[in-house]
Amino acid sequence: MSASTLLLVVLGLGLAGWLVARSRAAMFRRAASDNRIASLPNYHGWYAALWIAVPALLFALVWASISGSLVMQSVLADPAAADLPPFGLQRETILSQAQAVASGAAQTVTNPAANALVEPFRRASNFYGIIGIVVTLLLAGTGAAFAFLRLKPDFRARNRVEKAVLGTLLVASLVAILTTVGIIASLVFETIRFFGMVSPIDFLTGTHWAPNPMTDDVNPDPARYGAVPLFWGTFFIGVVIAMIVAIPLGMMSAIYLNQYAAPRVRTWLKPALEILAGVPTVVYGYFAALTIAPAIRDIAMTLGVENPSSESALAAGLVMGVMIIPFVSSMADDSIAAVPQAMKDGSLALGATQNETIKKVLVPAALPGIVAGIMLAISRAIGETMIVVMAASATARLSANPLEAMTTVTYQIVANLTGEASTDSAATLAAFALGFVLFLVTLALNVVALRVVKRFREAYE
Amino acid sequence: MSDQAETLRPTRTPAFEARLKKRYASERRFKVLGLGAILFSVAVLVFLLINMTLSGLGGFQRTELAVPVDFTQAGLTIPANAADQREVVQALQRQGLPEVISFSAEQALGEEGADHVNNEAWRLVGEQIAADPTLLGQRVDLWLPTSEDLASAYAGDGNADLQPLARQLADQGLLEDRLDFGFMTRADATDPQLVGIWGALKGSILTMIVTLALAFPIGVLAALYLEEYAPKNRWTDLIEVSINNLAAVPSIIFGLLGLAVFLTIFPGYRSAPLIGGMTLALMTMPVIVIAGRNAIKAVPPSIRDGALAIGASPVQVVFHHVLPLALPGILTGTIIGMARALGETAPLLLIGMRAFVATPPESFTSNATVLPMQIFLWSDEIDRGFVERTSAAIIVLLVFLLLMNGLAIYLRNRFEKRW
Amino acid sequence: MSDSETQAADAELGLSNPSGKSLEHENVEVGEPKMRARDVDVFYGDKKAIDSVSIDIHTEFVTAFIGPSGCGKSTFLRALNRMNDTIPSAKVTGCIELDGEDIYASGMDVVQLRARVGMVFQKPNPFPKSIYENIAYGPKIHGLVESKTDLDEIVEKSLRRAGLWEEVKDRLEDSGTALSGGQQQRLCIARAIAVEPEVILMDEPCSALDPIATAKIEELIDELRGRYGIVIVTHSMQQAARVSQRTAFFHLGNMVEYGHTSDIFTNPREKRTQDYITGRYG
Ligand SMILES: Nc1ncnc2c1ncn2[C@@H]1O[C@H](COP(=O)(O)OP(=O)(O)OP(=O)(O)O)[C@@H](O)[C@H]1O
Ligand SMILES: [Mg+2]
Repeated sequence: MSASTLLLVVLGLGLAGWLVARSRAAMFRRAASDNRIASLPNYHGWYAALWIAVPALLFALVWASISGSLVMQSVLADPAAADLPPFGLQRETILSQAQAVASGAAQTVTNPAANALVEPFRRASNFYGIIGIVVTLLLAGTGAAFAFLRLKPDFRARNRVEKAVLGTLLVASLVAILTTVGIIASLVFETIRFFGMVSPIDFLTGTHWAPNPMTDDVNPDPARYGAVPLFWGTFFIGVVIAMIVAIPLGMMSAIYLNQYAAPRVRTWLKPALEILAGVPTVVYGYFAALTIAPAIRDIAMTLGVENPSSESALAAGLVMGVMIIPFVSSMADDSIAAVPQAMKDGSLALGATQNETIKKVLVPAALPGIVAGIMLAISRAIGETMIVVMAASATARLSANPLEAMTTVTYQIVANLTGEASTDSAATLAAFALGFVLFLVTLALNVVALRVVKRFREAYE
Repeated sequence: MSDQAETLRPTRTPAFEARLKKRYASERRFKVLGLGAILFSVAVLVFLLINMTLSGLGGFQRTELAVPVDFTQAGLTIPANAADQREVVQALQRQGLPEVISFSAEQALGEEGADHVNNEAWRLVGEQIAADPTLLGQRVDLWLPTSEDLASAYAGDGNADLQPLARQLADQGLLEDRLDFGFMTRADATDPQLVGIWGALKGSILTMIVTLALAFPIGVLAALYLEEYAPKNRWTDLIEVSINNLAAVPSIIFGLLGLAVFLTIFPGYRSAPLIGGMTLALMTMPVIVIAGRNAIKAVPPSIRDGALAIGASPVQVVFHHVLPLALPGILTGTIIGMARALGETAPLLLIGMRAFVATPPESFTSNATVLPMQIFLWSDEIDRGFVERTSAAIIVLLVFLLLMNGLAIYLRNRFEKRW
Repeated sequence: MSDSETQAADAELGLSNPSGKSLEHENVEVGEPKMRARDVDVFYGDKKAIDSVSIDIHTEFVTAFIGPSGCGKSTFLRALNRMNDTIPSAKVTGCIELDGEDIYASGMDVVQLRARVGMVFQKPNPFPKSIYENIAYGPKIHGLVESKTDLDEIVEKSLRRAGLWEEVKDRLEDSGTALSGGQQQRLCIARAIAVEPEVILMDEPCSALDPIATAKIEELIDELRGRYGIVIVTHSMQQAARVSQRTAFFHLGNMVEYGHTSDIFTNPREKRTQDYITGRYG
């Protein structure tokens, strides 16, 4: 029985329980002297259905996530697995091929060594599969028995069902915390492993970045893991260049839309900005790499720059800036719109012109919101990946020349996790450490910005 | 009048009026600057769209050669026991279909020209025959894809030696760019003449289904909890900060999470839509929660009071009255979140959805790639043909995104503030 | 201008005063009106909010607008310095003159007009800047000062005139929003007089204030009279009676009655005025 059949069976049982409990409750009602029971029949139905389906499904879910490793364990314990190479890519290929054949996903194996393992795989997965099905069905049956024993005319099924609903809501909102905890835990865990190989001091203050997954798998040379050039590249592309583009253009766009544009013009221009914001970053990256970067190179060449890079920081930064414009603009628009009309009237009534009012009253009044928006924009820019992966370079360089190639934190995370390195190598773990730094910096920016925005909104409410 | 006896008020002096001229000039400059800023964004958008469209239209075409094939003489048959298209094509291959094609090509194009019929062209013909067996009894005029070299030469770059041949064949009307409907139905390939977008599109669809199935219910329920039931305490604050922060955390961090958690739990499902969808769901959920909360907040309290007053329980109030009214707003937020997820590449890059996937994924657990990833992968290819194909893939992606965003904007305008 | 001329002007406006006794202001010499409105209509879209109002504003006395809520007092007041321009749907017809110049004529400059006709709003709206900067704002944007000492002087003078100097002279760098409501409103008045306007329009300046703050503002208005033409919208009959010498009663977009304040309150000609001031509606 496959996972989806099992799911359908459990849901079917739940439905059956729902129908039976409902009609039983209707019977209670007819039997009752005043034609009333404590809860409506529907709630009896839901009560039964929940008891049947929820524990069974929860178990099935847990089982699905652990049975894979149980199967793997028992296969590895099989005598046929004794010939496997101890580790490395080949071992993984053999195992995954055998697994694919056993599960029917593939017809044949390309590596003959895998043939011997097909049968153990099939046996083990059948064994654990059957255990899973039996326990799931048992749980459904137990749930049904429990529910039906408790369903009586005076049973307050509604309260129970509503409690369950509230519980579900609470659990749903806990997913957010769980995600945050998951992020922090996985980043911290791998980062600590990395710091076991390379000291945090070397990592955070070193200026030479050249991880080599081939040579320093086990005993990495800490001198090759100095992340300062990455931090600098990220800052230079995402904060300096991108913000030089995005802040003035975004602010002026917001001011024009908010203060000058006729309503009809606004209804056309605003969606245009929203569409710009909706363009996927991979498209911007493609645009940067294929159109902007060569153009910048050509221009630099005609200006007499020697050997300008075709992966210049300028190309990535400019395109990133354009990507951020709608973001800055919408935050600034919201903040300016939140300034009370009375403030504007006060200035206009003194005889200020529109732009004097904007520059001297509206923007200063909206400043906290605008600054918070810019912080969020920076947080987005330094975390932006595809544009730099496609348009920036792999070379770590400490330079203030925008025409030179530079690399960023996100670029190196991708490069080190999609390369040849094994999961335990220093290069892979370094990617997690970089991710951790990125997470902390964006977290700080986000939390401060969100707090400022909130305070700002409250001030004018 | 008494005032006139005094000195002129400062706001009526000639100096004031002179300054006024300057102030108006600065006003005009400022306004032009604002208009310029926004027109710049619009210009970038238009440039991007036009640029992609122009180079992408070529991606929906491919260079093909005219080859008449006379199947009546070829002695090919479809075995009765062939179960599916793949077996039919294999059988035809054994019976010599490739030779039939190359022979016909030599007849029609000469030896040199026949060399540049795509190596895999016979397979496409085999698939056509499988779909329509009556072809075997006919003489048919086929258009077969060229080799990538000839396609480049025909487009005017690549190997200069081939350009005379391309010109000659084109003059004879045997070589031209033809609309390639197969682009929308095939999957990835190593030869730009043979690639298609359907594999990635289907991968995207499967991934989005997983994302929606997880993020929508969780997001809506969490929004309901926070807005309607959550007590004011530290936990609730923590949840709020978490959600707001998750909505602004770089997407690549979710990739690291997926890599460290999901791929450790489900090691066999590297590059499966299931894992990709789960990762994107975590990223989309906060967006839905925030949109959901705003929509729920906008439902006037009078509706809740009214329902409570007739004896509805708090749960009934929320599910019967508040949720239906908030739904349009929630849907708008969901669509925007899904559109973002659809265009997302970085986290999927980390969890390995960058495989070369030559057949469209069959299920949520088969190897798959997604549209933006396909764009990324193709953009790395050096063949000229891939440049156009990449732009074509971008057009497909943008069309989907525009549709989704358009729907969201429409929903928002339609249902905005009904009370 | 002679008394007879004034009476002729009064008669033209339907302000009859047959006995010739203009009560407490008999001895005030009345000049040309500072502002003159004739047949002014104001529309919001298609809706007429002000219907054919004609009135004169004199520097010599304070003019009060009274009337039930929604009758168009604010609308008319905002027409006097073209603040209605900021409402896209608003349209003004008729003629409003300042010193004989039509303020809606194409040659009239809105910026200069508003510098000459200042406005104080119902809710105090200090800018989120320091007290000093609040006052300095107008002189600065209009370029009225050459040096910092000039500016200091203007700030002090305006604050003194608004009766706020003693209270804030040690905390000029504090934010204007940190003041009490009554102080904020006096700050707004000081801000308005810092540019030396000719007329000050006040839209319910005391409605957000307590009686003590209100008394201070009323005192202030009385002191400013003569130097500035002052128009005040108020819902308080007592306040109108205390601070103004002329009163206009508005009702449903019409100006029903205009005359000496004491006449309006003791001896209204119109039944609607009578009903309103005796509290029968509004
Ligand atoms: N911006 C606007 N758009 C459309 N109609 C408006 C606008 N402002 C005011 N009105 C309408 O014009 C009429 C007059 O309003 P106005 O604010 O002048 O009244 P008011 O006499 O000042 O009232 P109150 O004493 O309550 O301040 C009202 O019917 C009001 O609804
Ligand atoms: Mg009013």
